[in-house]
Amino acid sequence: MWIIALLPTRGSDYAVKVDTAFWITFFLSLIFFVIINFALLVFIIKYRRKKGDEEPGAPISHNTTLEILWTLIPTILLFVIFWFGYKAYAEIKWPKEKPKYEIRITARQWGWAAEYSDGKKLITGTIKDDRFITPKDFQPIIFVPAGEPVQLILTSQDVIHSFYIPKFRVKYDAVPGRYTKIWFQAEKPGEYEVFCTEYCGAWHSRMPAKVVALPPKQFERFMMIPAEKFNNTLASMPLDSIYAVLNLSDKEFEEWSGAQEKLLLAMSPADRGKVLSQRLCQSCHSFDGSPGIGPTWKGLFGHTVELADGRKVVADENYIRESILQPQAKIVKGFQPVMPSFQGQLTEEQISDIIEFIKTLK
Amino acid sequence: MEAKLQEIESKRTYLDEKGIKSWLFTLDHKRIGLMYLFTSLFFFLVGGLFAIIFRTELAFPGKQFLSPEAHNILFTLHGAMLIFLVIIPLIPSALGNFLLPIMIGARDVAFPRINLLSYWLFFTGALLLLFSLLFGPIDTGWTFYTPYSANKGLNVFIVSLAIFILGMSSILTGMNFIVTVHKLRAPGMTWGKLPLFVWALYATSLVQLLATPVLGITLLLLGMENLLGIGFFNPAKGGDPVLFQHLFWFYSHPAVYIMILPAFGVISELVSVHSRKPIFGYWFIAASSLAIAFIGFLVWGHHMFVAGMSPIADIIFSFLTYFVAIPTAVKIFNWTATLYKGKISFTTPMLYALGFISLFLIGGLTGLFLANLGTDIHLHDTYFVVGHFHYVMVGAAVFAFFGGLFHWTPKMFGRMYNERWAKIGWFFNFLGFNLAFFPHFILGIQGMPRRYWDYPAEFQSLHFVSTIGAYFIALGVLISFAVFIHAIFKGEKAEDNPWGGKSLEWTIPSPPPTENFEKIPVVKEGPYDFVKH
Repeated sequence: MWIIALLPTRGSDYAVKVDTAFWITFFLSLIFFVIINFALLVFIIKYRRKKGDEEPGAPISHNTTLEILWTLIPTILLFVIFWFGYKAYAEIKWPKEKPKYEIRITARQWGWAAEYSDGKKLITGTIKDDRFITPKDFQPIIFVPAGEPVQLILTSQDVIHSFYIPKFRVKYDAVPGRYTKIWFQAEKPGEYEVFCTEYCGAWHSRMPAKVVALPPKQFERFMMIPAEKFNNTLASMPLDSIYAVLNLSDKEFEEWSGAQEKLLLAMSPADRGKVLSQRLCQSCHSFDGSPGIGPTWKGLFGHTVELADGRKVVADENYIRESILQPQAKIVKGFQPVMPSFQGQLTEEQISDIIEFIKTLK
Repeated sequence: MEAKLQEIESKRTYLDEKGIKSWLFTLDHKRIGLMYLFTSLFFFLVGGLFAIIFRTELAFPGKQFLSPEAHNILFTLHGAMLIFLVIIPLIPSALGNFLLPIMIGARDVAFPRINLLSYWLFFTGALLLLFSLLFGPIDTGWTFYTPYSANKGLNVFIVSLAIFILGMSSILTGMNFIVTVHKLRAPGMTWGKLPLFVWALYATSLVQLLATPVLGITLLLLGMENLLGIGFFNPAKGGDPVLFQHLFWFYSHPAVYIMILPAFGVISELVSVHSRKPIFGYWFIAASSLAIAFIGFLVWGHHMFVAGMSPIADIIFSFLTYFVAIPTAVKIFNWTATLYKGKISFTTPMLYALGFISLFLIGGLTGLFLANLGTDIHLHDTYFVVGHFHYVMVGAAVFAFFGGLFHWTPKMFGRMYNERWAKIGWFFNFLGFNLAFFPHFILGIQGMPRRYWDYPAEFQSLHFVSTIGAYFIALGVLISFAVFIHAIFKGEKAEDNPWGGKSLEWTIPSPPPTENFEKIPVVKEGPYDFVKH
């Protein structure tokens, strides 16, 4: 039935409550819609004025009983609709059990950053190009366990954004200067799109992300990975690599989580830096010398840069680090001071990975 | 001899005096109404054109020809112009100015000079809004949410100044109408004999008078924030961005009723006159206008269910919102019942009235999903909301305006419009409107966020249908405008009372004389007392 497919696939338990409220409102509305339109149709066919008929219609001016009835009946039905909406709302506001996991999410223009209580960090960026966004542009922003409640604590570092997961029927604004909360429970493992739903400027439509719900065992593994290790390795890798690690056999996983060197061999710092840079930086800084919102990275490292205030500096590691953490400190001549700070969003290792990658762009 | 001269003098119509000055400095409510009408219709075309441009961009996913910045500017200007320069003034200031004094048997509004001042404030605000484009067009959305709008500088300041001035115009008009209705009713024109259009304008004026000052204050604060850097709404300076939303919606929700109540009034007239039957439940309709105006002040929080209000506030606002639905439903039932055993003519105004009932019904019913706490969290800020308010603002308010425009064109200009072409225009408007905006509901339910420059490919087919619908609307609007312009200049001479209406405007010549009534009438019959010949 196509009508059942009207709402997006349900991904959370809470969605059932919302969908119930939706269909109750829908069918009550449909009844009124049909009654009124049917009456309109019958009346305009039946009581058409014939040509030359100049007489007025029947002098019916009111009918108090009828009018009181059609005031009272809708009132009662509206209470019914309110009640089902309230039930769904109460569930999302006051979870029955306290969510075990808490994830902090910070929105920015234009992307999301997530941090777990053990210090694991993920970050997504802006898709700035002319082609349309495809499923692979939805980068993972959080990993959650299927079947367990998760609490999100939202805030923003610039303007208001809104964190919206259609399949969970969940949405809440990320407001600068305050923390807002939502919780949800993913029904099944899977990937669930996240959209920003509060208008936040030019690239409002291009900050896609996704929630990845993992089966309990994989999520357990995810939580077992030490934060530092995760941030230095998996956080900058494509989702497939993360799945690959989480799907390793017990022995392999033990080996992996014990042996950092092995993974470092698998991916060089510059390679990790490349993945991260493609996600976060490439929309403004080209890697191949073509012009962009910010200076290109090609041939940047080790060369002299002229600043807007006339000074000249050599682009070394410290200069690049400073530019990532305090972008306004040194503005390159001919560019606008528009870059957001990544302070607190990138680990030291990720910064040095990016620097290593820039070094390769000769 | 003297008496004869006076007789000739009194037969002159309000359109006879020529010369640009006679229009710019006129104190005649009818001429001021027409100036509002043409100013608003101009911005109607401009704002509509913006929509056509960005709808074309949105027909396909990915970038077609607009940058995201340009798209955001266009939807901002589309909203700001059509709300503040078109839908808010269109019915009350244009049709209302023209008709309100005539309908109550008066020669003008209570304060004709303030009425002229209102128009020129409106014109100044409109010009300033255009002028602001020179400083870099704003891209904040018509809602100006802070802190996004808080550090934009001069252009946001100028736009808020423009809307501040438009607000003063709105307050003065509201005050003028209230005094007029209280003080200038002709002998025998009791409250129970007021046409429902006047009741609706009266309720609207109350909202204009009481709510608009809050908008003025809010925009003043926003302007100061942008010009002087005071952080009322900026968390970095200790301000609160959500406070702005409270202040903004405290005006802007009642503003919805400023837009829709006059439309209700127009529809009450059209439905009754074109079915030659007394309006069903006069007092219920009149009282429901006042009820909506009152309850409309208590529901602004329903725009903020996901903004970080306390749960108790959310629940109370949701509950109160349903109380607006009740008087609204009553009106729909009453209009429908009016048709029962009527003598319905399918004139263009009647087609617009029927279209209105059907479209407004959808607009109202979809509002139930948004008042509903559970479903609103899913639907908030998606295309569902865009569909909902376009069904109310365009499907209802603009349809009522077109219905009213054609209904009173013979009165305003003494000339008849071309019925066949007006109906063709209606057809394209009705078809195009549904094609353009019904898909919005489905898109929203499926999770398509609003104010998006681009979207994933899965939403494409519905966006494409919507864009085609927008082109049909453009065609319908252009045809309707052409019919209207043609009627003014080339239309056949109209009778004084072509529809057999009973309210006072149909008792005077078309176009009306400058003084409206040669002698102030003594009112004995109600506005809907259709009697057998």
